Amino acid sequence: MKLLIVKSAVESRWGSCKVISPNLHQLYLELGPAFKLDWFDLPEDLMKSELQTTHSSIVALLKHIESTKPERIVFVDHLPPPPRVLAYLSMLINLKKLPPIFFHLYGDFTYFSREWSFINEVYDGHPTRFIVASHSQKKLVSSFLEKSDDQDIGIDEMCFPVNSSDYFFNPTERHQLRQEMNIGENDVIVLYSGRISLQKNVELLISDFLKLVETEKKYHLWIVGAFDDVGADFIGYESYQGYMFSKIQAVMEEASPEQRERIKFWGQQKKTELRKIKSACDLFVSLSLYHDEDYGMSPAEALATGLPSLLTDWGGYSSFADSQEWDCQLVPVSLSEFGFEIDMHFFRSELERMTKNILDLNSRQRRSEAFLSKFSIKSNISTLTKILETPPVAFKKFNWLLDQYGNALSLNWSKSKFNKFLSPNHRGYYFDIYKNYISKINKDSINEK
Amino acid sequence: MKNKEPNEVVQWSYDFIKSFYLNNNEILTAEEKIYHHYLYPFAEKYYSSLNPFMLFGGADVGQLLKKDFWMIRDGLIPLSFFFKEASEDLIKGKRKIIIHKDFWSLVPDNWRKNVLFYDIKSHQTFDKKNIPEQLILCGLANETLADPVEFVEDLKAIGSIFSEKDLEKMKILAYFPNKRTDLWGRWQDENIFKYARALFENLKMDIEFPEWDVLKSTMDFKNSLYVEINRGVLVKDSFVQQMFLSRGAGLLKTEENIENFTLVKKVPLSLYHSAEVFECDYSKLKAYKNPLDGDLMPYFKKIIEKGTSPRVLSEGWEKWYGSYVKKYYKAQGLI
Repeated sequence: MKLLIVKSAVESRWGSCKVISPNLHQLYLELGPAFKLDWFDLPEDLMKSELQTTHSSIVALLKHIESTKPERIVFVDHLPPPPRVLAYLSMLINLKKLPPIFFHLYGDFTYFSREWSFINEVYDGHPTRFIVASHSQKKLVSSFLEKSDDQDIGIDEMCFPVNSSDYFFNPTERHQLRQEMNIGENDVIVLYSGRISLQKNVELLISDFLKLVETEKKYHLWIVGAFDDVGADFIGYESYQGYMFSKIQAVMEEASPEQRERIKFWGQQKKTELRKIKSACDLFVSLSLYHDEDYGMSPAEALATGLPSLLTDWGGYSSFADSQEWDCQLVPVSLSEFGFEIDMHFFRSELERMTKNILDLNSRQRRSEAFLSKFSIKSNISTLTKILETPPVAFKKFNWLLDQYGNALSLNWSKSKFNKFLSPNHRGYYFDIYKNYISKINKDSINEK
Repeated sequence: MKNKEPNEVVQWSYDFIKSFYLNNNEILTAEEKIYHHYLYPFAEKYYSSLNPFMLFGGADVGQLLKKDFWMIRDGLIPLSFFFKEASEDLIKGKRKIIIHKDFWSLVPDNWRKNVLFYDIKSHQTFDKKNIPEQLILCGLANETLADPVEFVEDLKAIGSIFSEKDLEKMKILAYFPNKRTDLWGRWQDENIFKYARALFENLKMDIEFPEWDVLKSTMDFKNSLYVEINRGVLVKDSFVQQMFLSRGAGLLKTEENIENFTLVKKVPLSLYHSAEVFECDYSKLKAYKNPLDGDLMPYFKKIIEKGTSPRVLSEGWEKWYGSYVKKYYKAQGLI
């Protein structure tokens, strides 16, 4: 099968996609001889100026499709936004003349909701498959598609795979780093890694960590990642550089000097260092409620090192809690009139339970291998092969919700004001869309609505 | 501005300061927009517990009056205007303002007890014994804000610390957004090539010029030396420096002369850098003399008027008031 894989000409500017994209590209490269790959690069920030010249990359893409005649076109990266590419292509050609198109969808699907809804007419009925990375993202994207009597609505699920050469359990590195950091055998290291940004709730994690009652064990909290003041611009919540750092500093100032010594900020780390750190730790935690958390690359890499994980029941995280072969617990989350609520009582009791008995090295190794047998690049070759060989279904348009949400978002960006219908609570667009990100949604919330 | 006729001064630059009093957050005039554009991203906002802000950004005076202290990030010229025009109501009681340590000489006698001074320090510093893997050079490269002579001087200073061999080994990134606005000069005056040439001649040919978006999305600058070509004429504490230092970059190690200053507080701004806050011992310093007052003012006004009508300020920088103020301070031995 001849595949034309359309990708961004440059590395993504988005932290997790700097890892996701190369891993997905690698997965395609490892597909068997049944697939003939052809790659086409587009500028990441595809601008309207592309329409002003016949030397445009869109014209080049069309000519390439015409000359190579692929059987499938695959949009593998999140940028340039695939709907923008299609909208531009539709000015040159009737899209029906194109072969079936497969899209890998990312968390920014909702961010580009307006652009996706714009292609409804020109793309209607085209043979398509959407590939999403988690159960929740599948629910979310399904909620935007016109209902169909067909069983197959054209959405497949395949994780963003972990590179098993980068992330695995290494007992030697665990021992070395713990020794280097003067961490006792019985001490427990709790880890958060990822961006330290508003919706990741790291300050909540720290303040709760400070309440941990120590028994015979000493607890340490390691935080790896860069401070990121991305804020929550989709609801008009702007944040300035330095805000998150100051916020965390304020929480740290409430800690005693002994407690402060137990909390270590590692800053941004390279993957080899990150593997050592993950190997050295005993539990991964994340209280993230990030609105575009369609997957969770950082927890996936932690689980790949056999690290038990305690995560919010939010977005892609619930896809990691499907198996008994590794340890992943979900902390209940709900959307109420007061906004988000995390069951911190549950979180605390699970934190204590999961750190009571630290896994022995063999158990840790087994969990790492079990996780990688489902989430590594190699283990997903057959999944991707199956998806690509599945007959595409006719695209049946996005529904009114995507259009409405897209309009509300774009209006809000231009005004940059707080909008209660876009903000997390038990009604409005946010609820309609992001209730799909909670695997155990509170039924009362739905009834009330 | 009170009791002054229009065009008596360069109105738009005064307006930035004035908007501070009027609680006006809107950017009103085309000139203001140009000014804002001109200083982007160096004058972008950032947050810290010292309440940093830029005068020209139209700070909310109501909010500022609620705070016990705030830190002015502006450079020499806006600060000169500020001390000339600002009402002393702003420092009633125990309220303090914090300005950069280099500008101690701008503080009028009646403000002195209410003014503290800041300096930005990276935890990691570099010198000839401790050589970084990467050198990041940033600045506003145009005739107005970093004249070519000063630019080359700064590059030569780097060359005097690191050998040719060291520089060869280093990866060098340069970010000098060219902001041609036609406000300050013609394209012959405002082009980036002569600055790029200075970089090539004084450092090496192998220099990368990444886009701002690429730099902004890179979160790790550990083992990188950050050098800003900025003499602090309009912006002293820049957002660009704040961003790089908060992602791990370090500054050059410098000899400090803090004889007249006493450290009163150290405020972490990130995992990798801090602001140090000082008090100044004025008994050891020269008496204040405002360059905008007295005998000098008529001459100063003349320069401004010449610059405003017609508005060809960059005829140039050498004739404009910024240059004048700078020369004045240099002549006084104050900077």
